[in-house]
Amino acid sequence: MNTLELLVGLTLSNERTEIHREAVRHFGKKYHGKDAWFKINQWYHEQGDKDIKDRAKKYSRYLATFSTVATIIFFLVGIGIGGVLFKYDGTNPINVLPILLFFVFIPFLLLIISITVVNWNRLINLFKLRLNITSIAEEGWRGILRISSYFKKNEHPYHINNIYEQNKRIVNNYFKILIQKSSLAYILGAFIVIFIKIITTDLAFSWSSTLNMSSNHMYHMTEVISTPWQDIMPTAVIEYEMIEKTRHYRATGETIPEGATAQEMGVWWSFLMMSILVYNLAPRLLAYYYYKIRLRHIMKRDLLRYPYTQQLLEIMEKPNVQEGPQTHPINSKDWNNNEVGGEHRHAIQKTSDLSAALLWRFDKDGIDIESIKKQLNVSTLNVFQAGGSNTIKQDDEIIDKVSDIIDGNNTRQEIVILVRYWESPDIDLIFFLRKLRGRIGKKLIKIIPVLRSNNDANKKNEKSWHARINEIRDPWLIIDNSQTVLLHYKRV
Amino acid sequence: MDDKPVFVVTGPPNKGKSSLVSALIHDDRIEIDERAGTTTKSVEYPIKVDGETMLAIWDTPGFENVRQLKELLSDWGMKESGKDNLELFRRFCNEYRDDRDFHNEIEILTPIVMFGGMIVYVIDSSVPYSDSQYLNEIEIIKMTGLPRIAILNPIDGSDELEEWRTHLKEHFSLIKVFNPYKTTFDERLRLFDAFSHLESIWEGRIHKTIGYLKRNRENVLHDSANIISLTVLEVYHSKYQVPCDNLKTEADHIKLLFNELDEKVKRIFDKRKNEIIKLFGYRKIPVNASYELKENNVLQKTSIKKYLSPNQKALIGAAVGASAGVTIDLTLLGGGLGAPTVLGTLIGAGVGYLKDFDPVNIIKGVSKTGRMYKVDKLKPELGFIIINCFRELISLLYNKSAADREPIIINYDYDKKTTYKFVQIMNKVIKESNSDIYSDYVKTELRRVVREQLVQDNKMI
Repeated sequence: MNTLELLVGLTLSNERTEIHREAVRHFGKKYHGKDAWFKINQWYHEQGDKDIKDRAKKYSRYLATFSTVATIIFFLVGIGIGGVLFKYDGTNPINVLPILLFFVFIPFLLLIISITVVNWNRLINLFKLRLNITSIAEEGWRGILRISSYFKKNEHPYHINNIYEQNKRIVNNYFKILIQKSSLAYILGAFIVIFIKIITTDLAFSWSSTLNMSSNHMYHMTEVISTPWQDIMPTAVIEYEMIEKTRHYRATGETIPEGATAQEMGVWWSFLMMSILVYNLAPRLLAYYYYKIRLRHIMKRDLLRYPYTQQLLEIMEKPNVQEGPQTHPINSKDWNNNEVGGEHRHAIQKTSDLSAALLWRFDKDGIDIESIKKQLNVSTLNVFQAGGSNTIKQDDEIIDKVSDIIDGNNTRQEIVILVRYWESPDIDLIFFLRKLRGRIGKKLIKIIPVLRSNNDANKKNEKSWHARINEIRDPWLIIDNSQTVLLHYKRV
Repeated sequence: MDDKPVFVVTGPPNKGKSSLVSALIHDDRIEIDERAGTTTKSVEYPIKVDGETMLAIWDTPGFENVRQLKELLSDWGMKESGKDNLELFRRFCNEYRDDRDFHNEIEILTPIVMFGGMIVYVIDSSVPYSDSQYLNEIEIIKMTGLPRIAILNPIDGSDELEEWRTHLKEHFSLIKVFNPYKTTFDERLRLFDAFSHLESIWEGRIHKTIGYLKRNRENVLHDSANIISLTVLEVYHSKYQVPCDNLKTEADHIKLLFNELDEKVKRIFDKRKNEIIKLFGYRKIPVNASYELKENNVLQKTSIKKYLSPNQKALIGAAVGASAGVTIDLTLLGGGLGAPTVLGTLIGAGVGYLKDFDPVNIIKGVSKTGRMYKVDKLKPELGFIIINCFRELISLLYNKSAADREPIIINYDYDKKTTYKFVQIMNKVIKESNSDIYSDYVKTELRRVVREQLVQDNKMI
């Protein structure tokens, strides 16, 4: 399975609402005992929505094409530079210094940067520089994804951004793979050209520089470079004597430096090949496979954390017991702006009832619960206090309790969360909602605005609430504006 | 603590933090929105004098994940209060720098751990206080051990002010009610003054800043007076003419001349208006203020009454009444025992005080030279109209908060203005308007009169 396709597919699925419980449960039973990653992979392959799979395929094809084009370009650049630097017409010998520069030093330096780029942000912060290299890489990726949206007119840019936002780490890792792959292609292109040239032509190497570089300096440099292979391949180590002999001054007009023989001038090839192999080809290959393995690891970890995948796995594991009237599966298209609307609204109201109410950031003891029941038109209601002065552990316990209540009574499929509508929602609530969703599965969560009075000032954050809740893209989570509750405190 | 005052404005989302910064720093470019989450990064806004930062105010995003932060810090052994806690906050900022879950908290805490300073906690005091909603944030602020001030922003009224005061007084050294949208220049200075009392090391510098801000406002008024006087001089010195058309009557030509004058003056006014708006430091606030001179609108309503003070009018009336009374007395050879004179004076004064005079025109004379109709002289009323438009604009700009993004609309009313003060100098301007240059006396005198009026209009504390 193409990992990219799976990534895009699961992200897009995450926005979907329709899950056929029976089918998923049947699938779970079929692959009982297999690990979660395998099940999700297989489920996507066998049961995934065709439309989503098609879209995911398109994206992954686009990205694969982008990757292939980049790789080919870099490969050709490698061949080109290799061809130019190894050009030898039998007169002036090939200078080894630019070869070392373009195929050893610069690529090696870029390799180090590409590997350490994640930590650059911190490193630079230490020096109080405000450059953000990581974000430059992120922006690059975002750009690639955005370009793809231009080619696919029917895709909303939101989806493109969503893929990135939801899978930042995965995508960044993919970006690194792309970098390593392209660089590998560059070095490979050059390596092939050099190899062919060496076999088919007798090449003469020398070293030449305008700088007043002594043979001693050159020797030390080559000695350091050849340290990794000096014992296993001594023939690819350049001796001091050879360095002195192959120093070339073009102004003298000689094609072979004084004291060197034509045969001696060819010995550099093994040193150059080993340098490219040891400092570029091999580490690039290692980096490439390292990021590939890492991507798989991150994907497994992150994709399995999606509320959607978690829900799938849960349904696969748990027996599908259904009693009483059934709610119809609801498609996201029927839910506009997270507000209950159309026929489905009535369907839900008729077939579901209230089972638990959560007071988000309210002091339960100070609130007149009876008044809330009256306004919600219910006789019994399990009320819990969440957020605010609760610890996160206490909230987790409340989620468990709420989940038990729902599991214990299948006809009551709805949880309401009463919120201070005049306050704006924050990420703390979003985390809570996500946890709650992960625990209760596909049950309706209704956010009911609590107002202090019927004054419009109470609703000034209405847009913020809708925007924030929409961000979650959970179709089973709604803000029910039709059912506001007026706040009444207990009389002391 | 550094002697450079640093204020870090914090609080829940959408409670007016950016508005407060915008008002204090007087920058109408700071983004403000009715939706929460407009501010996503902490930004430093300094007040600089000659390139030197006198004080800095940090605008920060709202608290988002404060409960988790508090639990994390408690796990690290953070105490309720104490300066050593800053080290733990620093550690948190370093370790969680790239954690998106704590993005806002990192943004808020970074300037705090970098510069210390004073924390300004902004809340909307028109909504009720609740421990569940706000206590975690307040406790985090307390943990920093830094001086802190609470700003109660009564966005939609002051119903809950006392409740807020009761709950916050144990946590904050100072609690101030401040509405950034409606604040005036003086209130802004008073808030800075309140800040200065919290940290003795900053007192001198903040007072110095207040002094600079006051002086800067005075300078702005003086420069505005200069601009206004230049506008008036330019208007009176400009030539207004239209080509003669034999098919048109003289009345038609006067109408055309009036339109020409109106358009030209409007252009001059608008150009100078923008200079004044810039002087007051506004860059984005829309100003729907223009010089208004409509033939059947302003002009017809403009009367001598509008630029003479009621007392002056009463005096003129009394003189007219007294003259009539004296005439009657003389006719009766003193038979009226001076009663007609006394009565005439009283009636004249009363009528003068109340009665409106006939409308006047702003064009004093029109002549035809060759194939052109041109304005010979303008009446002083035009100058009064221009000056009053500017005065109204400046009064609005002077007391407008940079956080108040409503457009400025001028609805000026002649009756409220003291136009009579300018009569004398305007007559001198008219006298010199046809010469090549104005005398230094006219230039400086006009500037002085306008400046005095502006200072009087906008009295500072």
